[in-house]
Amino acid sequence: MTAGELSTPAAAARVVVSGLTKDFGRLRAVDNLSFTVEQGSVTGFLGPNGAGKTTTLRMILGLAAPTSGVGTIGGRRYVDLTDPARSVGAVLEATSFLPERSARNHLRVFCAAAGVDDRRADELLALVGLTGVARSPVTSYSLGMRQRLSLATALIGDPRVLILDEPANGLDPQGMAWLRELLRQMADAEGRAVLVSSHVLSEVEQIVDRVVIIARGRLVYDGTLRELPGGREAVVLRTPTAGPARAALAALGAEVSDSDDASLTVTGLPIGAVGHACWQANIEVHELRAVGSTLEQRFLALTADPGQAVPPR
Amino acid sequence: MRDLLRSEWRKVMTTRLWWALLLAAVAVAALAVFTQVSGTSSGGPPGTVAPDPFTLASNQRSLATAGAAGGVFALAFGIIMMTTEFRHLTSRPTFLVQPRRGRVVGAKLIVAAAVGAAYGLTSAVVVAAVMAPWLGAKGVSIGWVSNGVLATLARAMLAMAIYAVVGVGVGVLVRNQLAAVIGALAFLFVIEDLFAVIPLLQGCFRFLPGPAAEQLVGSQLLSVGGPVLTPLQGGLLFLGWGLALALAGWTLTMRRDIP
Repeated sequence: MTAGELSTPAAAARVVVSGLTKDFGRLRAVDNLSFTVEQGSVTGFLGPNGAGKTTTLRMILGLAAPTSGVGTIGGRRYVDLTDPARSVGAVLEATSFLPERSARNHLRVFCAAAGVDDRRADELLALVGLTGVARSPVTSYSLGMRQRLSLATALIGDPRVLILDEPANGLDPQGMAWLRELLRQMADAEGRAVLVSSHVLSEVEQIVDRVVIIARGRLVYDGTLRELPGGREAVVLRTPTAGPARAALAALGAEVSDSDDASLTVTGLPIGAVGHACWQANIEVHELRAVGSTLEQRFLALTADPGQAVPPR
Repeated sequence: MRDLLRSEWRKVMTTRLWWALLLAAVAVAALAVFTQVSGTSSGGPPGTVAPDPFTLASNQRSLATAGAAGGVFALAFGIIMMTTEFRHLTSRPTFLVQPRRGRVVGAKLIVAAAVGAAYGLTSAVVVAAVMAPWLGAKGVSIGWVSNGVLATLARAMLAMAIYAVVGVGVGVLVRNQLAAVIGALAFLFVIEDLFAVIPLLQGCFRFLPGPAAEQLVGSQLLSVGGPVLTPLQGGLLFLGWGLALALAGWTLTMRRDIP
């Protein structure tokens, strides 16, 4: 422990993954992966099923030993944290319960282990909306209720870092909206570092500040969603005179296709150039707007193509 | 460590396992006294009035060894207590809250010993409650202290505690619950008996866990193959088995990835 680690709160809540690698026999599940999760931000950890997301999170959390590389929280490996429950909370899967134990007893078991007052169990049950069923055995819970209980377990020590593996599984749309709001609040108002994995980009795109995308165990993208490469900017132009507009834009080298009767989709020209061309050709414009290719398409393109998946070395 | 002990204690008390196995252990202890008393004939030649065999101090002590008759249930408790973590994946929150795995196993060993001792105490009370009126009705007075009956009950209680410790050790070594329970039962009821009957192996028999427990309590051994161990030696040997299993499990499997 150095004084520097303790004096900066940001460092205490930063997750640093560097060169993390995990082999299962001859299979390399995670390959030299490096990224950082900063305090006060929500980072999406994306990739198709089997990309190595869960294995990476398990290595960060000390449940699995890396073949090489290291994951640290506030500069320390998980196993070296002095008070893990107050440093990191993790939701790994909605199945880590004894079926006959009630939610309240489950939380009290881990409150005791974490050295946290038992009242915390009731607070958390209220926070995740399980107070009404707190004394029923977990076996009677729906998948969504188990996800909520997993989240409550992760929050026992009021941790600075939250790591969630596929938390959207089993949540209904209302539950999903609730989770998004909660995670956003934890990062924005409470300054926690949140790392949330998903294989479906749309589940997390509304709440993430940054994304780390992996495929076949390797990093394919680390940055903001807006800058996600592979997108072709398109412009939608609605005009009563589609024919002349098409001709004018095609003359400038744009690709033009019909979206419907009154609007054209233009690619290969920035929105300003499209507008200028219309003005010059004296074409009446009812609507002019830029659209990206969908994030999902870009995400799929990034994670599907093995050629693109290998980062340059 | 106090936090971990509280947590492990709560894990035990919030499930039905502990009292289901307690009932079984106590029932077996009571049954063991019952069959021993009713199955022992008074033995003298016909026409003579022989003294009741239970006036003998050794026979009174032998009855008291029934206090550890339910040892297999204390063993099962220890195994299930450990392996249930892996079976229901509560191993994840458990080792997330306390990533120093040895401490978790240490807390489990201590709590298991306490629960096993409670099984032993309850069994001892039940054994005494069956023995006292029954022998009393035969006109036999029990030398609780002078004949070493209480001491035997106390050693049986200790054996029950160690059975639970051995169970945790087995569970650390073999994470699969069914395999661990079946393996332990097969060892106790098949493999140890093979040691007792195969001449070449008889010399080792008294050092196996089951016989070690019996020598701690002071039961008659099926086969000896050497001088009988004192209760202290038997007890230390039995405890050694439990700790050695936990240590072997820790070095072999606890360093592996947690499921």
